Amino acid sequence: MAFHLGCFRALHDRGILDHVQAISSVSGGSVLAACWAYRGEDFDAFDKHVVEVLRRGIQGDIVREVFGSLEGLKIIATLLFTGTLSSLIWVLKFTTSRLRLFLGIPTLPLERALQAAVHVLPVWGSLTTAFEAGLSRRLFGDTTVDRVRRPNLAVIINACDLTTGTAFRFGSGRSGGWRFGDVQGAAPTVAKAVAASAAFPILLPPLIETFEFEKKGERHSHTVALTDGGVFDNLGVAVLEPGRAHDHAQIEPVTHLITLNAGGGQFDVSRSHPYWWVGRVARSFEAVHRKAQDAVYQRLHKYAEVGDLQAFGMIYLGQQDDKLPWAPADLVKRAQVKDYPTDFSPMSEENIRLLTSRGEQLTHIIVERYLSDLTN
Amino acid sequence: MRSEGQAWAAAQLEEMSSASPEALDILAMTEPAVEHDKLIVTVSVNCRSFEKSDGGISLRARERLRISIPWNFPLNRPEVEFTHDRFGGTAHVQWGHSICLFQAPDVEWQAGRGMFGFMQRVHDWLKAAAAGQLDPTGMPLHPPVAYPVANFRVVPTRNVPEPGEGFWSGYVEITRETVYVAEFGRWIAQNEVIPDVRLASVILLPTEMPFEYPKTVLDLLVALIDRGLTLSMLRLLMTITVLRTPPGKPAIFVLGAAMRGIAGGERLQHLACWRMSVEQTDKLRAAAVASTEENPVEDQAFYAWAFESNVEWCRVLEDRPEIVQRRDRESASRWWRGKRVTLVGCGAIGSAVAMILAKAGVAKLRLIDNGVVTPGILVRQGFRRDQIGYAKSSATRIAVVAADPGIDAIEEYSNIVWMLTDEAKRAEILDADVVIDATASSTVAAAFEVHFRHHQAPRPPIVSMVVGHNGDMGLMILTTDKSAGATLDFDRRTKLALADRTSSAKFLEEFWPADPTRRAIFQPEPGCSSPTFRGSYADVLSLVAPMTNVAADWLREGIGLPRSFAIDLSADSKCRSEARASWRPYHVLPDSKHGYEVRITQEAMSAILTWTRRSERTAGDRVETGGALFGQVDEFLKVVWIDEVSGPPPDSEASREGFVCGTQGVAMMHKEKLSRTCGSVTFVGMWHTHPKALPIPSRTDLGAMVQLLADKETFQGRSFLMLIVGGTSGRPILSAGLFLRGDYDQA
Repeated sequence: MAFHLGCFRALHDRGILDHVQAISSVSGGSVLAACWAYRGEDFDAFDKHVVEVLRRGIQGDIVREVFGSLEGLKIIATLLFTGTLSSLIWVLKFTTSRLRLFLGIPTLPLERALQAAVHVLPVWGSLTTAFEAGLSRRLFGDTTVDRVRRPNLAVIINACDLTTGTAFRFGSGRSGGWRFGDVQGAAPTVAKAVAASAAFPILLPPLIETFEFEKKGERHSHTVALTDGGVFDNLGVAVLEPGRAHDHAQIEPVTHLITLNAGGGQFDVSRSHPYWWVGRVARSFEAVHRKAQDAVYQRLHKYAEVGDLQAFGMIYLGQQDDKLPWAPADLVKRAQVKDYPTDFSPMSEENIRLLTSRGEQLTHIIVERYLSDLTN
Repeated sequence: MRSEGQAWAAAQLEEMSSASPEALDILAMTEPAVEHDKLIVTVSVNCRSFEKSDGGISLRARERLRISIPWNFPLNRPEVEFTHDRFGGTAHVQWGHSICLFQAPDVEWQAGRGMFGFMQRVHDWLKAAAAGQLDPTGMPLHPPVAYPVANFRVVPTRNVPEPGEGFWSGYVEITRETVYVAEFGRWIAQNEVIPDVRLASVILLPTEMPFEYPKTVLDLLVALIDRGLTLSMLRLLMTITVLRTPPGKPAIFVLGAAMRGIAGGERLQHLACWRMSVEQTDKLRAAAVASTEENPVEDQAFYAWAFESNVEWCRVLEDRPEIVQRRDRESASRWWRGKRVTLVGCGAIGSAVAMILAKAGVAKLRLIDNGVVTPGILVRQGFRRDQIGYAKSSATRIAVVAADPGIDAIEEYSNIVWMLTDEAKRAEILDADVVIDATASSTVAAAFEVHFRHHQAPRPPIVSMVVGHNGDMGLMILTTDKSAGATLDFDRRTKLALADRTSSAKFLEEFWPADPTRRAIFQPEPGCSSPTFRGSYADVLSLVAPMTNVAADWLREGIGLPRSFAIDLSADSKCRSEARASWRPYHVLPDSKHGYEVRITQEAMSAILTWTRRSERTAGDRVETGGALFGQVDEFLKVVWIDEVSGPPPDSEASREGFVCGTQGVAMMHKEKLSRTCGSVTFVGMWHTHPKALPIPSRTDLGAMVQLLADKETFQGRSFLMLIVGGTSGRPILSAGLFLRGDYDQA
């Protein structure tokens, strides 16, 4: 978020930010994107507000919601009721499946019924709903995603629906996904959209929500399990890519694309072998994730090369410094910031300075070289 | 002795007949008597089911048709005719019985469908003929037919006069004539002064003529008298025509009838033309000269001819704008039509461009070159062997005028660089809608550049074209009168734009090689010729054509931005590769000290404002800021280009009192820009702000210049540009001053 703030500062100074027509975000970037789109302050106030959020962090808000509001009780109730029942059902299901396997007893219908029962168990509260409540209390109130406070700006906050494994987009134009269609009724709140988009699955459970959807003229109610949009599309650009104007958010075809990515970039050579389960799975997850991201970057560069995009600017915290077109003498090096965690914990002034400075510096370098026609 | 194709056709007809004898009955088949003869099949076709209307032809319940199937059927299509002449004179029926079945046989005839397709076409024709729909509303009318018998053609080139209520009679000027063709120029009414030129007589009718024009002179005269003309008038016209026809030439007559156009729409004149043989013309001329009231030998000669002669109809090759739609009217080339163009350089590129423009219908073409046609250039330039030794401008003019004599083509065997120094010549060169510089000469580009640097008067757009050293890459640059700078300037900017694109490295290396010595120089005549590019006529055309088209498109769009277009047709390109660039106008500042012109790109200006805005945001709107300027100084043109700008180096000191620009990282930035742009962008000076004040150099500023330029150890450059930004980032006021080392040396 601090890196992104630095990028926003440079885009503001270059006179670009106010002319951005679509902003698509995932994960932690959704907090900053939503602050810009839905709070409507001038840039200085926005900057100050975000710096304040960075200093305090958001983790504290989640803790306060858990222990200082009804969210905590809801979480306990969910753990006791749903958690207990889920465990029991799992044990029953496991037992019956063994009986079927070893004794040939026809328990399959029972297993399916048990599986279906898990899906209807209520989720009254979770750390993610506490996160949502914190965002609502601290940043966005009851503002809904259709109430953008910047002129001519379309917003898409990307999440991933784990029930279908597809993108779920909260858009200022419309919300939903291609599997179930458009969400009907009142627009979702910005807090919900951001919480879903930033619910990093390793740390936070998915946000379980039931919406009424319309697809091809028919209405259905479906429950979705929303998690970090980065799981599906780490850069949040799928909806902006050329040829995707028909996609869910209904935005105009994009001519210039700037991606802001606070990822750390290339792996450091591991000091120890990722041999044990946790280490190897985490490393594998990161490798797949990084490779997918590389493929997207490659595609975006290709679009610019063949003219499908007029220009593409890749502003990447993890960018190798020696691969930059040039670097100012006071460049904040990648090594200084690449390992800073994106966990919404309170940040020191120095870390805020380093991350925002690198974001600002990289944005100036990239915009000046590859997007100079945007400046005015 | 049927051929294989004829046997196939007969089998198909028999199959149709046996499937439906009521619809198609084969009455007779006449076998080819000899090889390559036609197979004649007579059939009876059921026409009962065809709906009849007033405008349609009256088909009988069954019509007999005679089908002639050629020996090489189906490569050649069959012909069909009625076995009677009842429909003679009807549109789409020729020679009294022959059915005109196809409008564009090469397109409409499908050999693969054989007689099935042919009989379907016959069926459709009969049905449409019965319903009077052979010329459906909105479709072109079938013109009447005058069967040409003379091996002579005429070409009307101008729209004909409106015949009005009665008819129009007069003459048309014959502007060009050979044994086989005569080209018509302007139409001259009978009441106008008749010029002393070769003429053809003209009669234009506001009405129609029979679909098939008369074959004899007598029938023709009767038809014209039926339409309101008098015999005496016709005779007068003919007499004047034969008198205006030189001995040994045929007299020519033009007859127009309102039979052209779109069905249901406005009728235009369909022109038919006939000629009187040379002998008859000479005879009538002699009679006209010898004729007196007492001895009217002219009358005798005329009537003798009229009663005995057939009409020698000639083929009319239409070129009237009202009739012929230009085939290039949707092409980019259409923009050149009617334009005045100055073409500088008539070599490989210029001679090709000239022909493209001539074909496109350019009105005026001024051709300038100081070279001559040599044997070696024939393989890639559009000159003929018999033109060796001609001035290129002259040879090009000959080709242009041959392509279209109507073009006002002017040749100038002269050096363009010299011409640009002469005010009168310069005015002539620039008196055009476009100037095309096809010299590929940097001296010529510099000559234009220096002229426009000092003469800001409106000027036409300038298109320049060059071809790469292997004749497989081209570069075209368009500058307009709204551009500060001409080709040389935007050649430089094209280089900078391509330097920023990894995909354009090939163009960069071709047109601005980092190390020209790596490329072997091609001297076709070692020791006696300038280095040039390798390539064929085909190579040149394949590059010049797209460059000319793209230029035409840009000129048609009328967008005042300078642009460039590079094209790569080299064999190792997997597909045609192009690169395009356009530029927003410079922010132009006068240099207050030495009269230089400071051209700041929009991007550089934007960067200055960005850093100013940043300073205002982070340090307040009273604190100065600044940075380094990168570009190029041209002492010949007296131009300073500012292409890139940096913010304050980290070791800068900024306060309300002043800005001391640091140097940390500046050398590295200079090196990077120098390397990336192959030497075109270097450190040229510095900028700083005077927040909410005027951009006037302070004593501190001037003192710094003295310190900098008087000491060669500190700064080794020959000049230093100081750019001051007064006001605010929202309302900036700029000033520029170029400080030269020479000023301080003298001091």
